[in-house]
Amino acid sequence: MTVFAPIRRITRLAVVRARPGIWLGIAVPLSLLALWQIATAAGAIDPLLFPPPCTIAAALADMARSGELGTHVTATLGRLLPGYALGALTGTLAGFAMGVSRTMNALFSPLFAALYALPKIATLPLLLLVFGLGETPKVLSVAITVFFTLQINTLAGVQHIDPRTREAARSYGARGLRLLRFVLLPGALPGVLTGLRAAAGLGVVVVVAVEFVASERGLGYLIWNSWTLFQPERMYVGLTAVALLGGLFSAAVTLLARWATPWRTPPR
Amino acid sequence: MISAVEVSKQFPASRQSPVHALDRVSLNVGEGEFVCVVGPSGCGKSTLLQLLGGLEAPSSGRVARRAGPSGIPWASYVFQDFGLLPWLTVRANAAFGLRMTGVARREAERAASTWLERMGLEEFAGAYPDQLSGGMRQRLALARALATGSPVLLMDEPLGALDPQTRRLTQEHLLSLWQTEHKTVVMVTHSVDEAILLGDRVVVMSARPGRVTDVFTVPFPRPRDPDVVDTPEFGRLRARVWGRLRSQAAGEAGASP
Repeated sequence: MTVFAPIRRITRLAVVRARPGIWLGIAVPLSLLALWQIATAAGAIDPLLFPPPCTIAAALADMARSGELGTHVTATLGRLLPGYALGALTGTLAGFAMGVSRTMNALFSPLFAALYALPKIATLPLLLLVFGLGETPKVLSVAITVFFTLQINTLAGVQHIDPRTREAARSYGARGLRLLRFVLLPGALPGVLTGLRAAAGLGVVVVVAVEFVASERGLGYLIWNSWTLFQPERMYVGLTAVALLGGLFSAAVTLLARWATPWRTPPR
Repeated sequence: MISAVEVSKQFPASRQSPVHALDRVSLNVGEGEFVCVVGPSGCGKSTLLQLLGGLEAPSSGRVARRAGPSGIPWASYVFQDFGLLPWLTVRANAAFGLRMTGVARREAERAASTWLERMGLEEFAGAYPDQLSGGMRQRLALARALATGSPVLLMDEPLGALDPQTRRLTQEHLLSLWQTEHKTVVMVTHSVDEAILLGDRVVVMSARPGRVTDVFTVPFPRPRDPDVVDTPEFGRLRARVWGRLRSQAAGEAGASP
């Protein structure tokens, strides 16, 4: 065994995931882009609203070179990642506590159920009111959304542990910390990971929405600002960057999930 | 080794009179004895096992257990649905019982690997239970139970989830295994043949509330040849046990296939 073994394992997981039909999957978006390029060249669609992919690519390269794109990406990641981490940690703890303790569940489940119905982005004005215009309300907006996603999924994860498995573990004397380590934590893990995957997508949505209205930097700001200034190329650069960021983030969480639950056979 | 005296068990049921699972059951199991319990479904056989093992307390009556070696769990369990932990490898599952008694991982897995070998599972040690066939999973559950070194083995329909072929092979495996290990075994089963093939005694229970109606002593000597099932003597005993069981099962014949 070498230090490379885990790395090899992760690469293998990624490759296995990508292999089936990968070329077909790439062919469709490439053809659409080519069609778009041809349609603008032929004058079939308005290049003012739908600038051709080559123009967008050139704008993206320009903005990447000048460092402007980097500034926006850094600003967005600086809100997304801490908010995600904070929300994931607290949400998992809350869900787990509610899963293992009936009292905790009785205390908090009505409150959380009521709050869950509230679109979390609607709390942004309140957060702005309380914390001012700094980074805190933006990070918290992401954290709140991620918190609820993780709380619900972790709770479901604990509750869905097969009672027969728990009974068997109990008959072998699993109690307290051993029950936690051998049964409850690994049993809840699939639920946690489902929550992390869902939260990755939601987190990107929230951070972009927050940046639309309350920031001077970030990919959301870039998209919104390009609309107000009527600069469609820059808007498309922002959209492309958000799509890539969201895709990479979700893929990273999916890989983490596969690595963390090797006993689950991946769906074919 | 175990002696249950007049044990009854009632479970509270909401808005109804409580469910009487067991009614004044008395059963003595000697050290190194293999006792099989047969009876109609829902007659409280599983509850009896839980009471014998001390997982549940009787509503009345008492269960006495002769203490085994210290530091070793008194009884180990084998379940119909295996009760394996899906997130542990085959190796870690086999070592699970020992780990729950506080044995360190390395030591527990070394002890368990002997049993994986005897069960023919050593090449799957790194796999997960979901990757095994039903027969292999049950052999793993057996390895887990035997690895603890418990003097008592309590088995609840251990072969019920297996196809007939695998079941027959596992019965033969179990027969030779018990003859070398001399555990005290109480096994709940639906199969009269299985009970006679494996047991020293066959206990017949009535429909709910479960009572012991008959106890048959199996006359075949040990070590027992699996082909004993084809002898006329076996057939006669089967007919007698089945006759008693039939009258008990008649009450719920509509409910079970």
